[in-house]
This record gives sequence, structure tokens and C-alpha cells, in this order.
Amino acid sequence: MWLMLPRGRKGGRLLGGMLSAASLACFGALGQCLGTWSDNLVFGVVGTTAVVSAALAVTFRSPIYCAIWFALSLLATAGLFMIQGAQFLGVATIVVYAGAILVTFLFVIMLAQPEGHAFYDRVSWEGLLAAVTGSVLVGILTMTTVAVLSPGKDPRVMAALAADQPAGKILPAEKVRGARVTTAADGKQIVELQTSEAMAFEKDEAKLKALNAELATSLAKPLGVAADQILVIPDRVKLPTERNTEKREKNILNPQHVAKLGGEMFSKQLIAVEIAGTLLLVALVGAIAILSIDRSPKTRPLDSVPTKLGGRGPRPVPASEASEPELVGGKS
Amino acid sequence: MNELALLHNSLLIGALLFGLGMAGFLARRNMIIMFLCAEMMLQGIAVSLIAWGRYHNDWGGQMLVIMILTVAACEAGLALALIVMLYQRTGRLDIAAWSEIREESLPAYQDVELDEFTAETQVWPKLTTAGVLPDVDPSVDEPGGHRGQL
Repeated sequence: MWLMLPRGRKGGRLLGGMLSAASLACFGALGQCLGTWSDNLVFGVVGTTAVVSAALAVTFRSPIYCAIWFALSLLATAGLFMIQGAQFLGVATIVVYAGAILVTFLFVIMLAQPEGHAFYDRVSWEGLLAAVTGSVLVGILTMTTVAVLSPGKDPRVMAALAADQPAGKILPAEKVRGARVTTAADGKQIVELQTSEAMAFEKDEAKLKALNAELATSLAKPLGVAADQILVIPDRVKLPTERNTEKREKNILNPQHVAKLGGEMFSKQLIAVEIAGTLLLVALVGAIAILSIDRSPKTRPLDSVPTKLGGRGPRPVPASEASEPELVGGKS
Repeated sequence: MNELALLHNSLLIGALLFGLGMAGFLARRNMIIMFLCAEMMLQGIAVSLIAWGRYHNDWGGQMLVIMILTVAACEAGLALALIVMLYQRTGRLDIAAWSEIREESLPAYQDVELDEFTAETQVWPKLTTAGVLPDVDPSVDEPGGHRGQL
């Protein structure tokens, strides 16, 4: 990533690109199977497009190319929204951002120097630090996601659950999503089980004790410690599972998507909608105010900033402009 | 479709988009590209939110994304207005031109010396020729091609 950022030097881009592709492939290996191969293929293609074009948008030198790649990334993101059943938002993203990107694009063409890349496009700030910061953030997020949503299954614990008849009866192996063995400070082996049955164990002390006793005896050998050194904890991470697929079809995956969304928006979230509207209005007024501040003949507070700060200093007011009546902002 | 796997993959992509956007925002100096990177971070958040909303069978995620879209639109308007204003003051889109307003205790940013700008490092999109070549007066033609007119 760092190698791909513009540094004002030649070389390194190819190497950086290859390294990024390799890391992306490793990252893709973390992905989980979605079901049928077509689902996987569509999600893989759209997701890869989103990430790769985002990376290119960040690293290209020319602002024009950056805008183009960013637009592609947005299209892919809209595709992701569609995959997740948010059709309205997918289309809305395209519409809103198509406008925004078009405007940005015009800006680039208008402001970019036709002679070529400006020097500030060819050099980045602390490129290495920025890349490291980004990677650390992505790493933390990924580790959290993977640890919670697809925890590893310790083979020893799973084998014990599957083989041990009493323990398997208390907690069937297929109901365990993840099993992890950690060593506590006092040498105790702690077996954490991620299971949908955790609530039942919390309510029923005797059941938990039975599970603990059964599992501890059968795990003592594979873990290599005495049975009284093993503590089994059913984890509380509670995940709604496949069982509400039907509910989903009725609610968030309803064929009448927009009608449902609108109903929700204008009943439960009415205040949010009002706030959004107000925000848009305020931003509109603010943008106009910003742009008209230093051009209106009467009020020119920012122009009096000393030239050291990059201001142009007080601009001499032309006679024709000065004699103009106060048409604030409307001129120019 | 496996809902848990969908959530898992979407969260990963959301995290990647956010991280890329943040790295770009910190590293790039062109204000327009910084703005694009900020939008990219918002996109990462939106992907995660929609994935969570679908997983929990709740409209809240999509509502929040609509809110984000609104805020992004406002931000785009304000940011572009600010960029135009700053550009008018310094004549360039470089954020480093404003390092005068940094904290007093911080060192000034030292610009890296660049090798001389060469023509081949400059890349422009190439358009394929289409239609009939118009009648051009060769005496007006400049060596830089049509771009020389800009």
C-alpha cells in the first residue's frame, strides 16, 4: 500500500501492486461460503471490484483517474447493497453519488492544471505511517469479526463432544459454533464454547455442572491436565441464526421493498427524516455563505487575514463594484 | 444464502473500504482526493450497517444509511465550497499550503525535492478516434496538439 502511494519517485508501484494483490488474496481466504456457487461468485466479483478500485482511487496520482476509480468503487458498493436486499439504497447511492462524483469530476477538470500532475499529487504526506494506521485498523476490525462470527473449533473439544455420550446429550456437537481452549493465570484450562444454548445453561446450574463434569473427564487426557483443572464456560455471544429466515422474507427481504422502507421511514423514523431535511437546508445555506463571503463588496472579513496565512490581503475594491448597492453574494 | 457468512464477508469488505479511505485521507495532499477518501470511509460504514440490518431483520441499518447519504450530500456541498474558497486563496489544491495554521509546537512540513517533471510521467486518458477528421488549418496547429489550447 505504501509502495503504491505516490512518492515522487519511480518504481515500487508494480511491486506494491503485486504485494497488495497477494494480501487481498489472503484476505479473500478469510471469506466464508455463502451457499451456492453463484452467490459466492457474484459476491466475490462485486466485493473484489469494490476493494480493488478503492485502492486504486487512493493510490493514483492523477485526480481524474482517482475520480473514475472511485466511481467504479461506488458502483460495486451499490451492487453489494443490492446483494443484501437493499435495492432502494443501491439505486439511491448511484443517484446521489453519480451527482456528487460528476460535480467532483467537473471540479477536477476545472481546477487541475492542464500541464500535468501538480507536485502535491506526486508526493504524499507520511505515506508509510498512513498505510500502517490503515492496516492496523483493518487488522483489528478483521480479527474481531472473525473471532466473533467464525470462531475456530478446537478439534479436541469437538471430538470429546461428539464421542462422549453423556456430554453430547447435554450439548449436541452441532449446536456448538466455536470452541476455544485458553490457559488462565492459575494454570486452569478454560474451555469456551460458543453455543446457542448458552442461555439454557445460565438458567440451569445443575445442567452446567453436569456438562462441566462430563466434559472435564473426557478432556483431561487430550488436554494433558487433571480433570479438576478444566472449566467449561458456555459463551454468551448470542447470535440469531437461520431460524428467522422466514421472518426476514416478510420484513427486510419483502418483495415490496420500497413500500416497506417508506412505511418505516415515515412512521417510526419521522423525526430522523425531519432532521435530515433541516440538515440539508442548513448545509445549503452554509455552502452559499462560505462561497459568497469573500466576494461580496461589503463584508470581507476573511480577506483581511494577513497574507502570511495565504490570504490575498485586502483587495482594492473597484469603483464600479463599490458603488453597487448591497446585492450580497449575488454578484460574481 | 447463509446469512451469517454474508454478514461476515460484508463486514470484512466494509472494514477494508474504511481502512483504505483512512489511509488515503491521511496520506494524500490533494484536497479533492482527501474528500473522495472521506466518502469512501462513509461507504465502508454503510456496507457494514446494511449487513447488520439484514442480519437482525431490522430496518434501522438502512435508515442509518439514508441518514449517512444525507450527511454525505451536505458534506459534499460544504467541502466543495470550502475547496473552491481555499483554491482561490492559494491557487493550488495542496493542503500543505495551509500548514501555517498548525499548532505552534509542531515542526513545519518540509517539501520533498522532486526530480524534474518529465513528459512521460504524465498520463492522460487516451480517446479513440471517432468520426471524420475535421478540416483543421495546419497553420494554427500547435505542437502540443489540442491540449496546447487549454
